[in-house]
Amino acid sequence: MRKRVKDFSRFVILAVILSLIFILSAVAKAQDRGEEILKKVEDQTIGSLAPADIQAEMAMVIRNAKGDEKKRELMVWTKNNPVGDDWRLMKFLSPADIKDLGLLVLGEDQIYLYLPEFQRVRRIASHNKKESFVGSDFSYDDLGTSGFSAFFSPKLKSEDEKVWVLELLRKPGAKKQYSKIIMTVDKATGLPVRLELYDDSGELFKVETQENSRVGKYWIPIKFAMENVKAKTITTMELKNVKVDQKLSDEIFAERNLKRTVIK
Amino acid sequence: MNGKKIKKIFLIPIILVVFNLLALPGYTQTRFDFSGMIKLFLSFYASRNQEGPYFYHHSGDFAFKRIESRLALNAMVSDNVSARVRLDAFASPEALFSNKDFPEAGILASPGQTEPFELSLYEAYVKINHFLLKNLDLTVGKQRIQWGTADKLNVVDNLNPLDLANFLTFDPDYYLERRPQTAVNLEFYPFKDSKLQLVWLPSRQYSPLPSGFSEMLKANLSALPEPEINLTTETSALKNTNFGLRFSTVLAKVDMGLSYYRGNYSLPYIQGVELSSPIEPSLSQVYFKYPKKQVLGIDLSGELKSIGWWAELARIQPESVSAWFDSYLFMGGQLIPVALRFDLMEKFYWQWVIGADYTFSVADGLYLNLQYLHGLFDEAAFSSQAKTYFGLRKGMWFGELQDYLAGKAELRLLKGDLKAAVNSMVELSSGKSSAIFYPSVEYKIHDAVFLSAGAILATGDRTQTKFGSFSRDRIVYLMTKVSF
Repeated sequence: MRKRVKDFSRFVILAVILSLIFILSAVAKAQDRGEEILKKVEDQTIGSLAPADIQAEMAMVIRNAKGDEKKRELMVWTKNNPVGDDWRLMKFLSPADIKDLGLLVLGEDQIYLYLPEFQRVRRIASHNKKESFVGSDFSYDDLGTSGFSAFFSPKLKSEDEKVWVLELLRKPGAKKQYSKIIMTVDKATGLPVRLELYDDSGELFKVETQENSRVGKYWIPIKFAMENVKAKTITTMELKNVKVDQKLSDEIFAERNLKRTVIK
Repeated sequence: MNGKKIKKIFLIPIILVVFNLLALPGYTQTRFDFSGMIKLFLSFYASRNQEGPYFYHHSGDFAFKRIESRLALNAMVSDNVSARVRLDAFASPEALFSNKDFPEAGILASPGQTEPFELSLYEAYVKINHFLLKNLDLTVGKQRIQWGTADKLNVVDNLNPLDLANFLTFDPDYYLERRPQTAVNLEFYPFKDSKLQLVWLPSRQYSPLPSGFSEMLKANLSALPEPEINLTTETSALKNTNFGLRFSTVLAKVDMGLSYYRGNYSLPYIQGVELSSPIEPSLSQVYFKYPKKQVLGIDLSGELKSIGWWAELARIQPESVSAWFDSYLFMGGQLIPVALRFDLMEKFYWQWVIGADYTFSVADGLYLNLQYLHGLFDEAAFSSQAKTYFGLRKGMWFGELQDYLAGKAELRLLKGDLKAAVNSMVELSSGKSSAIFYPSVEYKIHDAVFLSAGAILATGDRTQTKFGSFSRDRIVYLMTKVSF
């Protein structure tokens, strides 16, 4: 009898160890797959398969819970920086009160805002990145650099014929607004089509959807919609007249250009 | 050639170029953009003050009412050549502005006096990118050139004088604002994030002073019998113009700038006092001048653990100004004239500011900003004799350097469409404490349409502190703005 109990105990321990090994290997595999898929995404957005630069006009529509709309027009330039964070410059064309306002992103902790009313360039510290950008549902962080892998640990959550679903968990110490992102990646384009963004308390905060289109030889996100789930507001951004690989010079992404008036 | 002539030489061609471009709509390359703003500002006194020293009023009186409009024209002549003109118009019904003592006095720096309706050419410049060299930009004309990293309390921002005329209107849009100056501004970019800037200001620069400025000075001179203010101005000559040089770069993700300025103080300082004979008493004469100075500056900004920070340090070296105090001593039954001569200011002195800001996750953001300042815009380090004979001290306007703690808390709601804020500044080292508070609420009714209300509340000793001198002038204001 005692021998049977001993054998059973050994069996249980072995089963537990095997289960753990199985689970851990499955998790590791999911993480490996997650990293592999996220690398594919980043190759398209900021890596070797991304355009060297993009220039476009952008239409932004902010809709509140009652359905009232506010419209903004801006010009956007981005440049793939092979040795660091990608660079981004945005200049507002309308409405009148924020006309000429400019945002220059040179890195995660190097963001500058040009305030035309005061003719002043102001550095935006990381604490401001959670803030709404010109009253929209996008934060400064959302409009910052496009990389994820430096700040999040990816894991493949599920997949079907058309999409992969990744779970991205914020790495300890990473200065990012969201604690978790559920990213749905379109297998055909290798680009995200939906991001569920969770706040620090782990609650769903915002949902971003994006439509990707072919521009030349590249797949590029052309339409974005950011919905604030709690406030029931939504902001859409649509790129128009998109031009890629224009060989934009580095000097465009500098204070010199941030202050320049843009007339359409 | 005097300063006004030099100014005209620069400004007239710029205005002609812009308006000629306007007259040529068929000129295919040039693109134009008009924008503007209309603003109504109304303020009331919420306290009674019949003792001055600056304002006399009953509670409920209008403090200031003004309609202001701005019209700006931007022209892109080509990818590399652009021009900008901004014209401001002010209508201040029932305004009584006159100030004969100071040529720069008046709301808009009009010589002599300010009218109830005024036009001001705020900016007018032409900018040429890639001027001669790919890395060189040239801007010529009336322009704002901002130096420094601090929030308004800059100690190295010397190229544009503070707009002190509007300082006393208590319009928050003009809180420590600086006025554009006619300048030749060369900006050279040796590397992507580095800039070498050389600025030449063809005429001397003076702060526009408020109506009643001489009364303000007389309040500082209460020990003198019937002081009469005299201002010594120097004619701006080509050899006597101002210039500045600044190199800025980014090192280890810290923005930094090194600057040098050689020019004049934009505010007048007391230089001499002549007391009349006690036997035949008459007016005492007090003389003011705008001394020259050199300023070496350094400014830094960056972030640490998500907290934004900035710092500015300025070493100010005034020209050697000989001050005088002429009086009489009654000795042995005789009146003996006494003529004292001494340096007005110390050989050099320091001004500095450090600050930090952070946004907390409360509502749509609770923004906090703190700055510690040594030396407000009007202060200087005076010699011990100047302090003794002119009565200069801490806790008075145009007095000795002292320390301040400035703070701002702003709660943002409705994605920033609604903002409730309190700005404050505390005088720390005058011996007696004083503070000024600016609570305000701003609501963005629609895109480009703002409504705001606020108050200016000062507290402290009325005779021994700077802010305390306004403690009986509590003001409530209402403001609307429409941009187009």
